[in-house]
Amino acid sequence: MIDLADLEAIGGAGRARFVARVCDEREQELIALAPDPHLALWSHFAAKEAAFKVVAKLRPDTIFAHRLFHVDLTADLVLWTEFAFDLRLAVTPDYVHAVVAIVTDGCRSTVAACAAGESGSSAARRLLCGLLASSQAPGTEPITIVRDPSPGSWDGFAPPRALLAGKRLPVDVSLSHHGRFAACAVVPATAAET
Amino acid sequence: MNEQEVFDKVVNILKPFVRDQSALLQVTKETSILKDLKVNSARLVDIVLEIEDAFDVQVSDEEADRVRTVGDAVALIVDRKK
Repeated sequence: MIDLADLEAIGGAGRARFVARVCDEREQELIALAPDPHLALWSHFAAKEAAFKVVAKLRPDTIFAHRLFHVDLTADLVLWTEFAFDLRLAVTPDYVHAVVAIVTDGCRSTVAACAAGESGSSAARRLLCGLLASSQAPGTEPITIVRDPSPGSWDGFAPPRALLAGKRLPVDVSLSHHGRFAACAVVPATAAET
Repeated sequence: MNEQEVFDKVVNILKPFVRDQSALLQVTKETSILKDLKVNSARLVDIVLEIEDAFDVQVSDEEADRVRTVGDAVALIVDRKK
């Protein structure tokens, strides 16, 4: 999730060293030649960040080196070591939202602006609960989203899990937020991130 | 440059990237850059680049990935400047 309009939040757009740090040489060329380099950079960045969250589930000890995630926007893929992940990119004038999964079939996602005074994290959880509740029978118990402490992980927490009446739902879920926006994604069973 | 001077310089580097400046008032070595200062991932890349410039060091992806707290950043820089 990247808030394109929130320049204060996104920082180093267009700076050569920033691009060189996060993109491989092919990506750097594509960004430089793109009609909108700003959009191209943040599309690549969002895809890499989403792909890393998938990898963090598959191989929790992985170092996050943006350059090792190779984004192919024309093929809708992110390549990392022997993996080729599906990529779904939603681009609007306001934001870029990337969903990356082993397979994006059956994926559902949503993006919305955070409410006034609402943290990005809370907004993303609210969106995810709403998305999951929409496929539950009326009157079902509320869904809760939990992230267990995980010292050593990139943000100190394990990936999120969705619980219904204390039992894990058979879906992989993902939360993200940046600037004014929050987002979530749900796929059946395997790993997906936004 | 001693450890305190490195700490002060790191906090100054962080300042423009932290939205809630009040979070910097009680910053310690244990302060988490992501959780406590709420620095986003794009900004984290900027901070690494600023540290490289300010201290004339190279920070690898592996080293950057291990930095969780302000103290981690200070320790990395002090170690590299020995």
